[in-house]
Amino acid sequence: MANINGKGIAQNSYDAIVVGSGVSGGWAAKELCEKGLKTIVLERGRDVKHGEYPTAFQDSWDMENRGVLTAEENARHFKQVRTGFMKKDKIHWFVDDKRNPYQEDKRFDWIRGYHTGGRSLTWGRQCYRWSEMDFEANAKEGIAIDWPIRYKDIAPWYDYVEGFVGISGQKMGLPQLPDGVFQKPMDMNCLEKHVKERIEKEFPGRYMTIGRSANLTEALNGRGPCQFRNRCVRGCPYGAYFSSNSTTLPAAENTGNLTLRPYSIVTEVIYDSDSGKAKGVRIVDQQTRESIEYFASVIFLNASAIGSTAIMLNSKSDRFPDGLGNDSGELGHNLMDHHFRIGAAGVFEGMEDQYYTGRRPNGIYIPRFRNLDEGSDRNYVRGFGYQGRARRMDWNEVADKPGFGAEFKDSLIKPGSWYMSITGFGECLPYHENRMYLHKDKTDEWGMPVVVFDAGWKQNELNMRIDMGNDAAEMLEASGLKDVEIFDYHSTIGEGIHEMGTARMGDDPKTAVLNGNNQVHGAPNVYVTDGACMTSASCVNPSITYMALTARASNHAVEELKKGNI
Amino acid sequence: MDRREAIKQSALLMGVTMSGAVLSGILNGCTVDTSDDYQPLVFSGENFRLITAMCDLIMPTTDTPGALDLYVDRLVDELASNSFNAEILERTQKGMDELRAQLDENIGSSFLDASREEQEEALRVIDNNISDNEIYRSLKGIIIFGYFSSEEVGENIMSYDPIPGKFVGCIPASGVGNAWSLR
Repeated sequence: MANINGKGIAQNSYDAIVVGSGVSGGWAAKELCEKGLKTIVLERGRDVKHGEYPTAFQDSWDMENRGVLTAEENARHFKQVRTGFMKKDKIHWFVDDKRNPYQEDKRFDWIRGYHTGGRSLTWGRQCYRWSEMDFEANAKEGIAIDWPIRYKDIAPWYDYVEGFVGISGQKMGLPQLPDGVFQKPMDMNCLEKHVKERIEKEFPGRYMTIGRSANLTEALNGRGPCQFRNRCVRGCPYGAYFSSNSTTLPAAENTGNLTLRPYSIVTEVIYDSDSGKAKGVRIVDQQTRESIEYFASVIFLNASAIGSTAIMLNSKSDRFPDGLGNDSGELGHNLMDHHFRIGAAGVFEGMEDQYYTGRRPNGIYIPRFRNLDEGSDRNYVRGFGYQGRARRMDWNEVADKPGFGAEFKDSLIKPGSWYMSITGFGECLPYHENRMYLHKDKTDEWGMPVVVFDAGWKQNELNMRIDMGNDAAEMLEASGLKDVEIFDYHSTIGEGIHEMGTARMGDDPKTAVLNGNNQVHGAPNVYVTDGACMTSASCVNPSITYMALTARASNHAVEELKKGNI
Repeated sequence: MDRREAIKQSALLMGVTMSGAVLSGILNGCTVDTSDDYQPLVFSGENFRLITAMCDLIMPTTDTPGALDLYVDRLVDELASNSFNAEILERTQKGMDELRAQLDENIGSSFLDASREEQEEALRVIDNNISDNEIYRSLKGIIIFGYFSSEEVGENIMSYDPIPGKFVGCIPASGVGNAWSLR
């Protein structure tokens, strides 16, 4: 370990430390820097500047092996490839599983990337606000613990972050899916418009809208607009979707207050029992293996639900023998994700003279319609929404169907039949037994204990899935689609890449890790504002909520610093 | 429009600086060995002949190029060589031996030496039950992928628009022609 003398401490001291540069870390960096704090962002992977997107303009014929992973690449990424969408065009955004091991008491797909921007480069960009119903559900149903906040506490922060992120979408006025600050919505295609009309006519209370997506339909702060190439996940040279690299980190950098240190693996938060606060963090340099300490008045953990929790579990002190802020014993527990990969698809006969132009990086959304009323008769609580799209089939859809020869080839060259597919995304309840923990002996090559997962779906999720399939099929059938089939590809926990809940918020330190401002109970100058903080999961994509909570907590931290409270 | 030109124009229009690495990425790429004396990398002589025959039967030359015009049989061999691990490769070779035996049986003599009509008839029996035959389904999928992921088909046969700049949900299909190349 490096010996830090007085001068060393000064050199390694900042007003604020942010651990991680993904969706929430980028926001913490921006907010803290803009409020005048000298801030160091510790990113465990390599640095990626906006624009450094090597595959952004490559077509399949430009790529080695036509973009198909080699046997060696598959072997090195044997867990990351479980999603099925990782090919050569984006392999550089996903970790090497051999160097970054984790263990599974039960299968858990931990899909992630270690580089500046983290998963903000590869996220699905769908942005839906939580509703009052989501914040109240635990308390009303007596499940887990109550959220310490309500919709009114976060609503202004949604407004604030949405305006900067840039979200295209349509206002609907639904209580279960509050409207936000939107740019003009993207268009639906002919079949989507038809299905929307039929669903809303045949099923009162069910609606279909264009996805609310962090893709710019109008230029914003020098970014965008979207060029409709649908290659977001490779990185967008036009900055037309939200990522830390394109959006929050440049804003932080503009203040002159930002230091970003790549290759900085934070192993623990250093707790000072005299002050009752954290005084800094310890890192190991990913390349040199040097151990270095950084010091600050305020620390934001934004290393992802699993990453931040692993750091806290590894931060043991006399005061916190079981990990920082773990008086409750809940740290690492209540792990959630969304379950999906069930829905329905069918073909539509007609509209052959209609097509679309452009590749829309967004689909349609059907907001939750189950269990909205007190008297609902379903055999599960909470609900689900659908994401989907219609398109004209091409060779991708028919390569495994019968047919060959001249006519077959010609048919693949022409636009195929219209078809539509919708997939449910369901809420997962917080269960104490669903957890991650640190292996007691096994460490990675940097000496950090290996994360172990022990979690899975339970009866509430499985019951919900029956409706997720049936409701999808009945809506498509009522819309006149043919050959409608329910599909169920069996969702694995983790595959939704919405890990949440491992350091939940709650008023009582005996049952929660964080308070209503995302401060660690017992270490008030440590804030955790990534997925770890979530007390329940809702059924909507979570990233915009992490952003809003991060902006809110950053504001709180600066106010508390000014008052001398932390 | 030429892609390089389209990228430059869009960059200019939007005030975006494109790094050299981004632009050079579109010059490299995947080229198939087109030499006269190609030696298969992983497939036996007879199994490679089966792939060649399947390419010609599934995606024949018409007024548009066929799979063999684009050396898709060699691409299948190269992809298998690069991307199949030992276990998958062994399973594929074995499955192809069985597939050839089935095709021979359907004809009553060697499939590879049969007339085109006989080959089509024998293949149709397999193809009609494609969901039951993993190896055939996999090879057919790779052949179709190889065809449509080629530059000739992707840029010149299909409707190619590298930077659409907009999305319009309903337009007359007649204005587009062949299906969009990219999705």
